[in-house]
Amino acid sequence: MKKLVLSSIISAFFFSAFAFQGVIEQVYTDANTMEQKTFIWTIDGEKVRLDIQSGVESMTILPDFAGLSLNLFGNKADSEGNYWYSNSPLSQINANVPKLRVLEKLESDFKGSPAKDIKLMSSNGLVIVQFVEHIDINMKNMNTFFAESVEFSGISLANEAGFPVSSVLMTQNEAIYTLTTKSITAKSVDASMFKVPSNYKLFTGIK
Amino acid sequence: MKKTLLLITLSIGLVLNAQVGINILQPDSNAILDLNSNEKGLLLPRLTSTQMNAMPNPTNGLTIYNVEDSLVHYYNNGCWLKAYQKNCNECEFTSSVNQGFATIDRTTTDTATFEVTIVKENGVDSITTVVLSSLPSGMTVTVVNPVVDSVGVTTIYVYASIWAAPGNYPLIIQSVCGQNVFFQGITVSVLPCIQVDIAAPLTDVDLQSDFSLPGVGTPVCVIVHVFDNVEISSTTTANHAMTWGNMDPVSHVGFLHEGYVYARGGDGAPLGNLLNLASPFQDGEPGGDALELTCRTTFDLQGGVYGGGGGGGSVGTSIAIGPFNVPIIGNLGPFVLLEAGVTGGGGASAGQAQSATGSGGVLIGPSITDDGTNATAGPLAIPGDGGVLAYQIPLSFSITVVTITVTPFVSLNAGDGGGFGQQGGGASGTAGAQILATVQIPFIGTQTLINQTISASLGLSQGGAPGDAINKNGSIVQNLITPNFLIKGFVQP
Repeated sequence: MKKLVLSSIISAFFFSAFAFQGVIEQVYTDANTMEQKTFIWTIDGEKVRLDIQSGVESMTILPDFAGLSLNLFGNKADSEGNYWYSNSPLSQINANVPKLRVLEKLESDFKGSPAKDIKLMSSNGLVIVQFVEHIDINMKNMNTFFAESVEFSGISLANEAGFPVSSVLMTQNEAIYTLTTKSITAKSVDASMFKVPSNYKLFTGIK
Repeated sequence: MKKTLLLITLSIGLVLNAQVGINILQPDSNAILDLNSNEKGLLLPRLTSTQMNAMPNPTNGLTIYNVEDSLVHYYNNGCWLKAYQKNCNECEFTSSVNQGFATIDRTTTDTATFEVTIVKENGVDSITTVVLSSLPSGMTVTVVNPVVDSVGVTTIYVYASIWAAPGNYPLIIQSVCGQNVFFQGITVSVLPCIQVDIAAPLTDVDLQSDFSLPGVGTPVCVIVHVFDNVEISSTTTANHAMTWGNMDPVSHVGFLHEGYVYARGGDGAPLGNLLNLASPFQDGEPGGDALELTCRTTFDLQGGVYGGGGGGGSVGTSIAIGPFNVPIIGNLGPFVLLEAGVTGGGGASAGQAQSATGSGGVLIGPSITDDGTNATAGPLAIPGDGGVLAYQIPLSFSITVVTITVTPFVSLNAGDGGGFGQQGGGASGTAGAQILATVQIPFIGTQTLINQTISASLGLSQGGAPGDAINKNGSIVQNLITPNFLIKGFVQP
């Protein structure tokens, strides 16, 4: 019993002290259009930032887990040189939560590190999600905000925790989309990355 | 001795018979003195009035010859009476009129004036003057101060309206006092007027020039007769349907109107530049004026006089978006979703609606317009309706990850044309757009960035003013009763 308590304390200390801090770059590919988007996750413990780039277009998502709101902004100024961001309560975002069923869990390997694969059945087809446990993340927060993600939902549905490093959604014959991880870079992240840039103004509607 | 005996005999005869005959052997048995002569008369005492009145206690029946009035006077019951008088209170007067003939030209004057001077010389009764006449319709006689007690002037006015038949009309002035009556004859000459008969439809009538009537400098009297149901109209709103034109201001027109005089209605307002609503929209055109007077006019109005109705106002708009700042995409717009416009209806009569056309500018949506309708023509004209538009169709497009759905809405009503004498209707409407912008956020869902409704500026115009039914231009007008169902539109002074 003492060992169990000690183990828990050590584990808690390990994960809190060594929570992932760095950048994960992923590529989302629409199998039909072959349109690609780059997802850049910046993580510092429970702080998360997601930059989605498509060509020169950019969209940055800054979840406010405590405030249950979402900050959203791009990289384009208006005609007067002003930058704008929106802040919406999470309750005002319309999410289609996927309906999933876990089919199978498998041990796997991701670039030499242990990983797990989960096969899921969704209303759109078969989903295979690979995740790594060593990138610890608050699954409750992620499921709350990234509610349409079959990846986070699937991992949680399988009673697992970790960060998805690849996924594919396919019908019986073809893929619909794929998500692959290009790089995982552990590094120090400036705290400002998790704040809306100070030169951005809050958008409250067209004037 | 013989002569003495004869004188005695005669004296005895006078005394016995109380009769004296001169140049007659047997005097009338009822006469005390019977004068008989084929060559000579009875010569009464010849007195002045002063001498006559100076006689003390004259006896009734005392008779003299008054050398002042050359009349025999006799004394009776306290006064000297002329031979034809019966009593002391019998009225005696003189009456004289200042002229026996007068002319009425109905241009400079409609009335002849006669002054009757009355002087009473005896009696207590007043002298009353009346006029005996048989005048045609349109002529009247007015006697002012008809009763004179002693000395005064009775004035007689003989009026001839423009409708009276021309001619020479005798009248008799009769002054009465007691049993005495004094008659005087006068004559009034009513000069004829120029007659203008209009029995067929005409347009843009200028009475003076179209009928070669004398102009300024030559006052005339003119009777204008517009026959039953004959139409006189104007071809443009700038023209009167009918004007007296360059008549001398002193001229006098009698207007016997049994037809229709009506002005052209104003055209409906066209559209302005839909893409530049700062440019002023034109209002509906004012209706034309029907009848313009330039000299004194006497009406006999039995037909319609209608000012033109004003044209209806137009309304137009263009619905432009932006530039708006929007997160993610930076700027939204500017671009013009659509333009829309409707033109006003034409005013009665014959007002035209203008064709509604778009600006030809660059739009991402449609250019929608609707024309007003023309007014019908004629005295029973129906004004045109203004154009009407209602449009609401959503338009969706995407900019990067943002989906924008813009739903422009337009409801425009141009003004209807005005009926005769009525202002054209003003335009009204609403226009704007609902803007819905959503962003599809991967892993998260759909966020609404914009859900707002904006209003578009409307270029609104007013209906045209009604045309005047009658513009007097300061002229004297007689026998024109207003309001009058035969008159549609203002009567301007």
